[in-house]
Amino acid sequence: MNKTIYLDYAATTPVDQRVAAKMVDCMTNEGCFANPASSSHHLGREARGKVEVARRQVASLINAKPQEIIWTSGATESNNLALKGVAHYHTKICPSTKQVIERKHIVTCRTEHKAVLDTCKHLEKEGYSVTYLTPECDGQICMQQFNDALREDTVLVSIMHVNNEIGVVQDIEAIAEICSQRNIVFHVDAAQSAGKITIDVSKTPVDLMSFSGHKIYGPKGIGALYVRETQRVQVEPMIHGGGHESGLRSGTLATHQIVGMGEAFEIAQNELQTDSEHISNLRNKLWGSIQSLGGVQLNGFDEIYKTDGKAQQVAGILNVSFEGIEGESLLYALSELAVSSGSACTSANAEPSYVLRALGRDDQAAQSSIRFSIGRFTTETDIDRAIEVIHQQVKRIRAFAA
Amino acid sequence: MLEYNTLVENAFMHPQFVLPNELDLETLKQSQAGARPHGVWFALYYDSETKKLYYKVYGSPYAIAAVENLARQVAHDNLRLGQALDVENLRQQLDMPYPYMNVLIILEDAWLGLSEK
Repeated sequence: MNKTIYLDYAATTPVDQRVAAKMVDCMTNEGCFANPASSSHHLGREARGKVEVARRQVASLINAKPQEIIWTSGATESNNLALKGVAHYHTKICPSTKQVIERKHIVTCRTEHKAVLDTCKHLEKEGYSVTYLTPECDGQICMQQFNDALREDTVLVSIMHVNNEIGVVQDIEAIAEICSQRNIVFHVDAAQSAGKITIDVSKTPVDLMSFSGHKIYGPKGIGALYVRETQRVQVEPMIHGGGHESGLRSGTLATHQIVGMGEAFEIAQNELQTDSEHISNLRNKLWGSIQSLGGVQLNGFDEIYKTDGKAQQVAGILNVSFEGIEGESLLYALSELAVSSGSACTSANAEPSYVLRALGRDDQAAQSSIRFSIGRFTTETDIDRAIEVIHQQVKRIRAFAA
Repeated sequence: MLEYNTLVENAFMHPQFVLPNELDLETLKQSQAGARPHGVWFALYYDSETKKLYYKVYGSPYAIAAVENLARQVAHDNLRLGQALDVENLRQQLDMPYPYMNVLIILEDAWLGLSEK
């Protein structure tokens, strides 16, 4: 069997060798393994030092202050902490009557990651009201619809920066300005954008931002939440016990994970330009070739940048619907490629992607879609082989029904 | 993605009875069942002269494997036009989970339709 070609970088990335080397230094008896909270001895203080270096590395990528970075177990926890933490802090609900005393309204989008959507569903059960915006057919949020959704009692807006399925970039600068003017806390899930497009929180008034280590060539099981240092942004902790991370997230810090995430963020910052060029070239080659097959539909934007220079699509995610092929057969035919499908093919009743459905794609188009995601370690040889497989198999499967 | 057994894999990767372009459709008995928007569609073509069954199919690997195996049974004279299709036996051969049974019911419809021509 041929070697599997990994084109699923939006799901997770391999740990960069340079990151792994730094992590190993923090794990064994000879390394910096001590508890960073053990300030009574120098081994603990040394570990603490490494944690703080990592905090600066993560902060640097988004131009934040180091003290604004809170370590978590990943972007899912960061999203939970941001949404529940803000909602609970700003809204007082009487436990017996369930009567809402303060602001209780949240705005998000139908194409958000489940970590946000499921958290919103949970908050709805607690008595909060959530507005789910429907994106335009290109995946972007209509600013008029967004403005209309805001209410006097809106406490929080949560919009992802880059969509994990289609790679479309939301205009977080415009949303942040509106939220700032209306004194609404703005949270951004940046799991798919960190290290791929420039983020500068000193210029964009985002209040909270979620990050993941493993989407950026760092380890799994570590993430961070950026919390703007201002009186306006108050978050109630979810995990108690020790008061770590300024009381926002208790628990012994995982030095090796944190050091790995810090190193991954620093490498991403230094190599953002070269990574982007490399990935863009491969993406253009892949998409150009897929287009020549005919009967394909791009879910997302063809051009990476708008005419004003703003990014509207990350290069690394290419989501394509193939006409005339059933989704499960397409995925099976492409089994030499590690890719993601637009449906959950775990049962006969495969659910089409809710993201593609929200964009107005029909069930068939949603089910026959494939997400190819390209990363730092994808080679031209990988793309050449992927093109060969896609052409061969799509033509073969289409011939079954032609 | 589901794991498929070797029979499904072989039928999916090396089908032998997909309708060839050179056959004259007017000489063949034809029957269809299912619909592409619903995820499963079969078109069966029976050549009375060679006693071979050909097909077109839109569907999951199970749908492709089911119709390919039906065609192989006909080619090996294990099943003749007018005989009932043993749906449960085919399901077991393909290790097909029960939720996929609709695929076989639709295939059976197409097969019965062919027999009635």
